[in-house]
Amino acid sequence: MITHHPDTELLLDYATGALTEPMALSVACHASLCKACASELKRLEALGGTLLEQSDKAQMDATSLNAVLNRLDDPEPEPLRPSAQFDAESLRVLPMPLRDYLPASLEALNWRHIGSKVSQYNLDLHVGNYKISLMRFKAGSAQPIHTHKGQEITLVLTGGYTDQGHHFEVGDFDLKDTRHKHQPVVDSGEDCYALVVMDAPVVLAGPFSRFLNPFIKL
Amino acid sequence: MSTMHLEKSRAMRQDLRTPQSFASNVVSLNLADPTNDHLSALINDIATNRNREAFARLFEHYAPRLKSFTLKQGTSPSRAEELVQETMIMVWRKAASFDASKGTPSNWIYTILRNKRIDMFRKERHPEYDLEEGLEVADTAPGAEDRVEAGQQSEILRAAIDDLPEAQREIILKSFYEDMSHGEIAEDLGLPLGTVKSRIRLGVTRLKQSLGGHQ
Repeated sequence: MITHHPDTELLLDYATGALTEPMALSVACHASLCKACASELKRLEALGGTLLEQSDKAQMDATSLNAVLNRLDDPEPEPLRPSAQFDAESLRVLPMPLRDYLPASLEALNWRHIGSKVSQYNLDLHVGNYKISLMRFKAGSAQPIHTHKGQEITLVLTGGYTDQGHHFEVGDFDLKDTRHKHQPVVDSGEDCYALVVMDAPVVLAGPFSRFLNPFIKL
Repeated sequence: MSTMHLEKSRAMRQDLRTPQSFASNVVSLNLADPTNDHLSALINDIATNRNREAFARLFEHYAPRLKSFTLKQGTSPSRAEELVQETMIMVWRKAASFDASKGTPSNWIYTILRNKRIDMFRKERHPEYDLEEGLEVADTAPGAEDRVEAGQQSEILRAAIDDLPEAQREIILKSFYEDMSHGEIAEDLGLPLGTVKSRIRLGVTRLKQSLGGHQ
């Protein structure tokens, strides 16, 4: 059961279009798995619809309608990237909004292996300082202790983990910032896939961190 | 599609490209205050029949409102005009994805405007949520009653917005009209972030209550 949701103000920012694309992606993935937040977004978008419906009528240019009518048959622009054919496992793991950002099924992605317990695939999405990754954590593994310089959102796609006494499972939206120091322990049984959105680098906080830091380009 | 039908739509297209005959068309259609059912029917007609006349009527209703909404967001008149035109072209292309059981035409068109604005002004995409199959269980599937509700929703929401305490209304309207995140609003108003967050939460909760349990 999903117990960790984005805050109302984050949902409002999604509905008004004020979120950056990486943040909007994490909210969209969550709302694809969470009925409560999908309903909440519908309500907030209905607020936008209401404000639109009740807007005054501004004068359009006299040629506007004809200009648009003349363009209706124009060919549609090519999609940013051709949609990939996903295998059944990928369809099980990946919520709909995330599929647009991946060129191939999970097994065919160019994963970077960080030790034996973590694999990372960076999404081809470049906005500001954001780093957007698909992560795969080995079932039963303990991850290094770390803190953050900025925000980190982890959206659980399969499996789960426990961090600082809180349990996170499929669909959970885990937002951490500089106040949090954490060491997630991954549930045994199933590998944990997660979408991770960071707006600043991770800072390792445990022993050897000064040595490890240059190598773990999280 | 029959040949006759094709010829008819071709004739209609010809017709629409002549502004004068288009104007007379609209007068005869008496859509001064179309209901959501009318507007939904127009969108479905576009989706199914690629009906340009239905599109022109929809344009007539929405384009001036989209433009006014966009102008309120501080966009220049020429950029607003461009954004509205691009938005209406998306309405034509995406008409088949409109589902009247999931929301009103205005809600749907609002999201198309929002996404187009992000595309044009920020060169970013706005990833859309899509509740996975099996999660939309029967108890929330909109039935006939809820559709009536959807028709009244706009009025109820409008009244509810007016009834909000000024401090909450200001921030929620600012979110929609000034294209700012809650963090930027806090900065703009010189308010602590926590104050802005709590006003949003209180305001949204009140709006939700006004809609009752029909969600």
